[in-house]
Amino acid sequence: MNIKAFAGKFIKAEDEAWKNNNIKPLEAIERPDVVYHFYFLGADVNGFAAHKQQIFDSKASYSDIRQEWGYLAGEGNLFGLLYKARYISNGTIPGLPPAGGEVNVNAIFLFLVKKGKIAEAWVNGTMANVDFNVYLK
Amino acid sequence: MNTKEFAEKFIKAEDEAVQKGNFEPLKALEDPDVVYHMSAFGDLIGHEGHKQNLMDGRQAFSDIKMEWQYLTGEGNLFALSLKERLISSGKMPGMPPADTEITTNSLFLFRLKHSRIIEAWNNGSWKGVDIEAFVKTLKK
Repeated sequence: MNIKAFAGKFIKAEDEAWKNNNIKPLEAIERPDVVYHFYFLGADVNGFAAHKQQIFDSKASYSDIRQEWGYLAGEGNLFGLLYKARYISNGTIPGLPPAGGEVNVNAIFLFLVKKGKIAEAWVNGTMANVDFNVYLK
Repeated sequence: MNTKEFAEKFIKAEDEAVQKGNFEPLKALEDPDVVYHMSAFGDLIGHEGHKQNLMDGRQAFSDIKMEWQYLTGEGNLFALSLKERLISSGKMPGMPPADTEITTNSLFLFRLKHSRIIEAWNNGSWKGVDIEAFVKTLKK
């Protein structure tokens, strides 16, 4: 497996999910029991169905979503991506800014692939303008 | 090379540098031209740049507690998480007053070349300090 090509597939699959509500490409490259360790949320997202739900929940909370992925390095079954995003809050979720407020994300994603599918990912970074004490409740 | 063993050496070398000011073990593990891409500070260039960053940390904080965890590794790549509890010394402009507690939580991805660290990426969060304001202070 070419890990950089796989990373490219992941980025396209995320794009499809976020921009076109098409979750199929992402489902094809994640194990059903994938685990995302979101350090800055203080929680794990367990399983593809939960990851899908997280994306849909986020899409419902924001508009004008702009995402930028950058490939850092990869070898064997391990690769790293840089993620920068700008979301506009619709003001419906406590802890996020009022409607029209901007949320900026800057994070690193590390992925472990098993048998050609993402098995585990670790994510850490910052989400500017979010009140985590309220948001995480 | 066993990346987990290398990671353990790195963790010991960081501990030696941060707790005792002995940078020799770290120097032995880093390429002289190593680059650390730190999301909070920008790039640290070369072993000397990294060393200076750690020396600044020793000046800015007391009672430094670091908790490293090996996450995964393959070939010439490995990943660690780091949680820190720092007490501000009050000596560094832009940092909180003395005795203020600061915590960090971040991920590192390391790339090796010829059995030495050549590049690393770090991203995470700081609590107890406005890190963006602090970085602006450094640049003045």
